[in-house]
Amino acid sequence: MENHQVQIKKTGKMEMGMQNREKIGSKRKLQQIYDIGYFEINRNLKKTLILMIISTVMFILFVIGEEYRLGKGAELPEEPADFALRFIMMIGSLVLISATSYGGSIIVVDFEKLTGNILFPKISRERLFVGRFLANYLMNAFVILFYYILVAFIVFIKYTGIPKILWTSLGWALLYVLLILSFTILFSSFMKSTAGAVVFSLALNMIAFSIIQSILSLISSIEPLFSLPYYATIITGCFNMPEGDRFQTIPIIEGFEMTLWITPSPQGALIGTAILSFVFLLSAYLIFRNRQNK
Amino acid sequence: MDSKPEIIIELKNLTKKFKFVTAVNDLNLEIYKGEILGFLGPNGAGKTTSMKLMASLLKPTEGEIFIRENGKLQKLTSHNKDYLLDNIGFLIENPEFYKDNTPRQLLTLFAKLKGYPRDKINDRVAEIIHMVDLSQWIDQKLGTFSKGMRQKIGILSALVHDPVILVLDEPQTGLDPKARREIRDLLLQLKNQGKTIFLSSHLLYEIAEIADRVAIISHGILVACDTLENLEAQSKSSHIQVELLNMNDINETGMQIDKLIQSFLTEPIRYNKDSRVFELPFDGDPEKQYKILQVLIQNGMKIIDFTVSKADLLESLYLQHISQSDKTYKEFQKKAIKVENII
Repeated sequence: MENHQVQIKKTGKMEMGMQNREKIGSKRKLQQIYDIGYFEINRNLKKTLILMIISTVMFILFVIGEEYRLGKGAELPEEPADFALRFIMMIGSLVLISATSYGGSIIVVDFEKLTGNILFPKISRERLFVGRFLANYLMNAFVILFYYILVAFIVFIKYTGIPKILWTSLGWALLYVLLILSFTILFSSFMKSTAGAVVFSLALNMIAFSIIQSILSLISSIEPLFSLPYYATIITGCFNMPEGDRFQTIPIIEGFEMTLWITPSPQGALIGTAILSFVFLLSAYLIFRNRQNK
Repeated sequence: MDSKPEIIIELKNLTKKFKFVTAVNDLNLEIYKGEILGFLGPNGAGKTTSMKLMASLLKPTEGEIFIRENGKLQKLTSHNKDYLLDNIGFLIENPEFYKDNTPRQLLTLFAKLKGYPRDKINDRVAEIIHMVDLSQWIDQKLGTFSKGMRQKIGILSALVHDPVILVLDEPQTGLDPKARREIRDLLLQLKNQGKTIFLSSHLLYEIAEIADRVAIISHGILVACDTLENLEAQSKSSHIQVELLNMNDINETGMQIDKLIQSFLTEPIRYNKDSRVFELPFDGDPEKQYKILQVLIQNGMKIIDFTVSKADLLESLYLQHISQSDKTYKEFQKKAIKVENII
């Protein structure tokens, strides 16, 4: 018993430390989200650098292509927006690559590597989840913004002005980032490996959705708002708005035609992205929580 | 003066049921301030579930958890969990880390998350890293660390925010003897600093060496919780290891010892060829232990070692409690099946 009393005296110093601790409350919760995000950004710096290199290479290839065309006698488009559009034709693919590589590891990496960050997290799993999501979204957005800045730069050189529609397109691209990132996080919540989450997410986006969308266009005129790649079309489709058609009807055989949807409306894209992202993220969180409890 | 030790964590009627399994069943446990409590049990006994309940990662089906804060035991709820759990540092078995991070980065993050004063974090990280002799590794990537070093960093990650209580799940599993010893020394050092340590382990020797009390859990039920000495006295089963100098004939010496102390023994004497010691089974009464020693010395036995091995004692107590619990559990299952059939 004497032992215990001695130890109690010794813990006096520890309790002094406890009193100096930051107070619990909203400020500390936000601080924790910020700390997790900051750590996550630092941890993924290499990935961000690689994706920026990929963006730069993609941009350089487009520049070479454009310069080749001009060298062959083709003329520079009259409108700077038309010139800018040529550089962002492939932006959907860049978003897909970057969002899957960021989102793929967000949850599964800790189960895969058995880090204590998930099993016995230092903070509530909600804050851990939000912090990681925000950090990965910001890094992803930064990569896309970087690409748009390169495009803006070349447009500025050629035309001494940057069309506003380029920034509208950037806004849609960032919204598409949110959608793909949320979708990949859903896979990350239940897959066994990061590679699995990335591959499945890529395969569904590049193959499965396109197949379903094509089949649906043959049998129905329903707008494919369920299909994630469809939302990428507004990134370039916005250049033709509000005049451009949103769909085309193509006759195949007599009495039978298919409806080819070109791009969603701004309202449809906004609402669709918001609903789908919310559903994906909420499902991912619930699966993650359930998985952690096992 | 009240000599009753101060309770720092209290688990009251704690029960956790999953779909078809009761992982923790009516667990009542008091953890005293400044002690090392060894938490033992076979795989699937409910150790990790109990720890997850304490960490508020799982919600108990029934029961309550109380943690001492500001001199009062406060019930752990979803509203005060951040506040109360700041008092505890958790470590899971075999912690892994992101390979590209350094101990400084990782420990700084954990200290920040747990609200350690920001202006003191650098000093705190350096201080605890120094405590485990890894100062020269503070800025090296964790991917280059050995398992023992990673385990030390794991313990530091639970310790960096200076909690009063440490909950450690199998901190020595999978380590070589040197690393195990280093961790054991570290835990004793932490105890001497006033930390309360709740330690789950399969390594009975490690628990026996450092724990003030042991709690044994089996099939989710706490089957024993006390000091080793008290458990020994309750079980009335122990054995003394006796090593003699210059022993010529083992059989003859054995018979001679048996003759001298037969009245104190609960079973016949055994001779352990590997450790070259006689094992004298008795009821664990310290009075008898003293008398046995006295009789042997008075009769000219040249004793060079006379011990009740804590690890062996714990092992036999552990096995005794677990097998008893297995029996009870099987009987209960049989009865339950019968009732089901009747229904």
